[in-house]
Amino acid sequence: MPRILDLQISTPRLIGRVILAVILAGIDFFIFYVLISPKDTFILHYLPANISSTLSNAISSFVSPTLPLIGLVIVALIFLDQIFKGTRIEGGFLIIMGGIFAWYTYTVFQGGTMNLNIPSGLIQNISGNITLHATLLMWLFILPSLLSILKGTLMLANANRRKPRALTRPTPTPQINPSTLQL
Amino acid sequence: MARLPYSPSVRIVSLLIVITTLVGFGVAGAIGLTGARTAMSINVGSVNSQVNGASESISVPVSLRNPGPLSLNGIDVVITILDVNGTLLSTGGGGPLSLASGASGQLPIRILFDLSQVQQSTLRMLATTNENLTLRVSLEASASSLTSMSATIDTPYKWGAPVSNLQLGAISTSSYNATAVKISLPLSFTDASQNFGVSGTVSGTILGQAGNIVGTINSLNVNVGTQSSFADQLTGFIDQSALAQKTVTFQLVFQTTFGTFTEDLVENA
Repeated sequence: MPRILDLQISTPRLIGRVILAVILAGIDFFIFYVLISPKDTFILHYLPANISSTLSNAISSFVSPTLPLIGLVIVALIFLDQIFKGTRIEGGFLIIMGGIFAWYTYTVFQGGTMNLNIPSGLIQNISGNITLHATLLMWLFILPSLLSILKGTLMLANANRRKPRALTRPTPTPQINPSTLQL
Repeated sequence: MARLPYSPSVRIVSLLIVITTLVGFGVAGAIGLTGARTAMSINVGSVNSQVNGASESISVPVSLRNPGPLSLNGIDVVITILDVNGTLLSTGGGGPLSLASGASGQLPIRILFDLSQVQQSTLRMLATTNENLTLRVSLEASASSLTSMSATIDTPYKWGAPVSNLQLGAISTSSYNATAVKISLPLSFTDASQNFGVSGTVSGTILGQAGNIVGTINSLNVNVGTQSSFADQLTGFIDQSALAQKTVTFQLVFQTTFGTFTEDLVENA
């Protein structure tokens, strides 16, 4: 039976876990990288060239260039989190992911004051800018990330509490019915 | 080793993560819904413009409804008109207006474009040059104190000059006395303004190449409506000696209901 760190898992469940990790990472890659990457956003490929370039500039004005890069880190973390789910390092992953998500949310909200430029050409005879003051909303979105950090910390503490017992009282490898394992 | 069981505290935090995430998206959705549905309900009435002397009063009735779940507060509109150099020509607006969820309201927007308040050089430019001015709309609103929005939208505002395409024709002369010659020359222009007619007089002086006064132009009554053309003969006197000069400058002074301005035109003597 394969083993991921301290977690024994049946081969079919491991395969299922990898497939799920790939699917989730793929979805997140689309959301956190493809959709927000000004140059690569696939929607732009289906628009006329002049609108596409104007829209690309408009997206660039409010999407920080670091956002797609943070998105890629999130994709990698989500993949690894699925693989290592249930192991003693899951808490660590949650802490890192919570921090990265909080950074991502802060960047998306541009620190609470979002500026959107409307370049001339996007809408005929219209140009300008829109500023959205959404600090409260930003913190509302950051809150789940902070709670993820708290959850990860609690899980790590929980895992550390269990470790000494495992060391002092070694037990034979339990016979685990794979159907009782949670993915 | 089996998968680590989640402790009760971890389960509580997991539940809180789900709840706060749902609340976050719920609030964002409510804000978006309120803003978008209110924006879609905006109905701009017919623009009413009234000219009184040098000032034009423009009023635009705007009605809107807030079908969203949150109240909208402090809806404030400021409208400014800027010239090509970004100089402020006029300002106006409407509000503030607050709309509770489901409420409707009126936001009358008024702009007073007073040409008597602008600088002389700007008046001359506005009187004689068709321009693409900028109409700047600044909008502020907040949704239930959760978020506030300010937007600045620029759109071109085509300004038709009341005295556009000003032209002088060829000078014809006739003898007057030993030192002066009587002159006559055609004057034409088009009132391209949507609102300002030209009613008043045009007179002026004739300047020689050295900038000295070499003649005068008699006062001519001008009365032309918007979007129409004017053509008439200017008359005056010019020094005989000035006729030897290659060019002379006609310094025309327009005294109209919207202001007094000077326009220089160089003509072959």
